[in-house]
Amino acid sequence: MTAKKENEERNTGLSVGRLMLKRLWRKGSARIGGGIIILLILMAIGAPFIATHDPFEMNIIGRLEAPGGEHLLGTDEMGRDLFSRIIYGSRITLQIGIISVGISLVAGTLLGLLSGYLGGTFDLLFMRLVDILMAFPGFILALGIVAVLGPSLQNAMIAVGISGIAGYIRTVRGSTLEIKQEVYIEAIKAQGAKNRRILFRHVLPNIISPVLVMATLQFPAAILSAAGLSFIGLGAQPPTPEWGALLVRSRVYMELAPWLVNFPGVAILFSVLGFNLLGNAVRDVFDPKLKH
Amino acid sequence: MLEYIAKRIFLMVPVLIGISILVFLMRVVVPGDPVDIMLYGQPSTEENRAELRSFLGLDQPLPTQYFLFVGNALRGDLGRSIQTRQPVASEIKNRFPNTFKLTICSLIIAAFLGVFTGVLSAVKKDTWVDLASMVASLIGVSMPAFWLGLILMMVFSVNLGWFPVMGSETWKHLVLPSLTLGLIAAAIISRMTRSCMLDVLQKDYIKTARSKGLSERRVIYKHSLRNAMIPVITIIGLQFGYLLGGAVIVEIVFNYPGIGEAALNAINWRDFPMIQGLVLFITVIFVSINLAVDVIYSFLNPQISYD
Repeated sequence: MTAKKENEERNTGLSVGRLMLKRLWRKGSARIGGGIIILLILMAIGAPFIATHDPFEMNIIGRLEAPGGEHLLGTDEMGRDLFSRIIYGSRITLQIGIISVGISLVAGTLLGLLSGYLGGTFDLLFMRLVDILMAFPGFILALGIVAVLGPSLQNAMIAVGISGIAGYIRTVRGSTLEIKQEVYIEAIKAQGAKNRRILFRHVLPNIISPVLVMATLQFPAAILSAAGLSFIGLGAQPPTPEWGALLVRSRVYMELAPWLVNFPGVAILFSVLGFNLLGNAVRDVFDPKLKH
Repeated sequence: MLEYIAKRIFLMVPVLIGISILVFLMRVVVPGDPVDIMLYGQPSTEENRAELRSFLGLDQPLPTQYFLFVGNALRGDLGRSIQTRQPVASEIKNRFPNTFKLTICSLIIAAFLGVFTGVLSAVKKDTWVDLASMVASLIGVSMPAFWLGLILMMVFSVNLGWFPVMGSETWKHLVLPSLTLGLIAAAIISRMTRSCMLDVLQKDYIKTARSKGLSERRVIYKHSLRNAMIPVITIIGLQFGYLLGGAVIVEIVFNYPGIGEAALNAINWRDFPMIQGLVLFITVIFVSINLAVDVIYSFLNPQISYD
């Protein structure tokens, strides 16, 4: 988009939020990604209406039935309907993304704000702690946390959430340090505003765009990590229809029932793709410095 | 330059101390008594429990336990596995070469494929080649590694029978796991190479090179790629560390006897000395690789000052 066009848009009196949404809408990748995500949300909300069977109902006689006929995507080794399990799985996938990203975002933003704003020895020591957290490879850190907390879907989400905190702290702290030195913050301070008010009313709104970019890019990564943990048995436990967990037994029946491998994997791929497409577009619109 | 390297190594010390504290604390913060957890489901007497407690050094005060842990780790002693009663270090010594082989093979695949498609994409910007390569790399970064592994296994091992399904005895066992990890890392490297090449291709010295009448081939390979490679090498180096983490899951898919498979076993057995040893080992390797990448980067990039 040309600078002239951007200026024209700015002069139309649209709010910043609407302006950004308009720019986002212009990007093909945002439209495709957004479309996939809306489909995923509809799937999750409408699961009871879309699913053709009870996702937990076992039927030993109808084990490993091929796709088509009564079972659109076939059945698994317990005779459960794969289509219905994948539909219900979308709820878990969204939940994983929202909770893990939520943990990283809230904790990381608060701690980053505090560290940047307080500065001094606290900031110095605290940032060394962040360096240490960042020294662990992300998946290994999540693995270690699950090892301590024990395998479960909830713990997998906590682990993925905690392993993402350090990134937010660093970004938010950096932006806070910049904003803190602005003249208007000095002016508000001189007026006698309380620290809490300065932080949440004046600093936070100004650092929200890098945080938003980070969150949209972390969402797909969180889904992949949690699905990975479930796949190796450390996340969602059977009979939960989490997509990574659906693939656990598929290896055993690969030759007999390839659909058990194909469909849950495609579901993960498309959701992650949707969030990645949207994430890239959000990054380009909100953080042009990071383009490419 | 040497001073810079020494400074970087010196700065690594507090990070390593922090890592060792966190890894040590893993066992301490486990909810419940670690001895109960380790003996879960097994009959035990008070005597057994006291024996296990002193075997693990749990009867000592915490700071003493920590210094013992670090002191032993520095001497290469990471304790004994609860599951096998063998030294953790020797288990790592047996398994790490497999993981290392897997990581190196994946990195070679990723670097060649990633740089090649990235350059191609940049040179053929806005053509169908660029589009196809961008779509492929987007799919690559969105693909769960374990699923790609399963698909490759299904096609090339189960259906075509070209490669063994699992194990590690011959080079053939290495092909599918390396491809799985390598293809995904290639996607990331390809995107990075494309954007670095595009940046460089807009530079004035490329215009000068072209206006001198140099062949397009020379402009691309001699003038652009060399300059674009500096950040790309950093990404490739950093991928090496991430591949070590990613290897965990791929090893489990292919039952490949590396440290990832050992980590999963240890977690399922709540074998904490083993878990701690593995996490500590992988993280120290990861940090060292990142340091090496940094040093190589500063060496390659004449724009960096060492002050």
